[in-house]
Amino acid sequence: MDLLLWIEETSIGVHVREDAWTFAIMLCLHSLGMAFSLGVVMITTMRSVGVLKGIPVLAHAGLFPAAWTGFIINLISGIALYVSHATEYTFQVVFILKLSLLAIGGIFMKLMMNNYRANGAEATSKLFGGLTLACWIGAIITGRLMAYS
Amino acid sequence: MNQDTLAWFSDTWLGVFMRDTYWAWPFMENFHFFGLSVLFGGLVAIDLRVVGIAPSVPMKAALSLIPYVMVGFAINLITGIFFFAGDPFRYFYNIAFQWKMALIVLAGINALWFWFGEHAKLSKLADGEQADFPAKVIATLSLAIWMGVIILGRLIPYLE
Repeated sequence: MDLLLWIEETSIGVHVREDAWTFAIMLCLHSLGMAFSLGVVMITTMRSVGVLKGIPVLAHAGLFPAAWTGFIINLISGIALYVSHATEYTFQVVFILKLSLLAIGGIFMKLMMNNYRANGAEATSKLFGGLTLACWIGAIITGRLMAYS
Repeated sequence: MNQDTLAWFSDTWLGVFMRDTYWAWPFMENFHFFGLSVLFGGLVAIDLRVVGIAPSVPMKAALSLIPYVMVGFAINLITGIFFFAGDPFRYFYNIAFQWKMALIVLAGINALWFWFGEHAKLSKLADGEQADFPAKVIATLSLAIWMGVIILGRLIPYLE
């Protein structure tokens, strides 16, 4: 708890929390980053499970630099947002769930792409795609619910 | 839109549902984010291919995402109408909301330009081949406008 309080009282924590515009700008960046990272993950995994047709799964790799850019924007803006309310967010169930789902979803995404490269569009590849999709949809929901808990 | 129209919106079952059901707002917000991801994900694929940042994406396959982009938009239009009905007096006079709507209209015009001016040409493009300059302008505008829409949407609670 002392550590969390110290985090909140760093100059970044104080600034993001107390300057209304800094907080709003971080939220805007977080939305933009989400649009790029989640957008690409979404069309890739929805293609994998067959919800949509479109680009072959492996060809989505050309969009991954854009998705990673979005992810890094969200990592940075996310850290800024976390630092500003560390004592609160650390104990929010939905926040812990969100981070876990993002991490697990990321691992499944990697497994999905590896399996597509090795074995093509077989059942296991699609299963990993579906699990990634489920995890990241869960991450949107739990992330949004942070505002309500 | 006058006060009566806004009041009428507010009294529809949509508005009543949004205000009286405790899970309605977060429920619709989650769909709004889901729709946004599908809409923007599809646009990223199409626009980055057209601009030339993602040349390895097959053009025809990217263009086949257009219907899904529309589905994403439809989800957000519907959920957006629910939000509006839930609190019409707040949204209608909110400067971020007004600019957001203006940008969506602009995005629509840009999409029409794309559809009627470039779509046929782009469909014939070979894999890896570059799109022409007007198509690249439209694709850049598309990404920029939708990024603006996302930013303004997020700013609605901060600009009132």
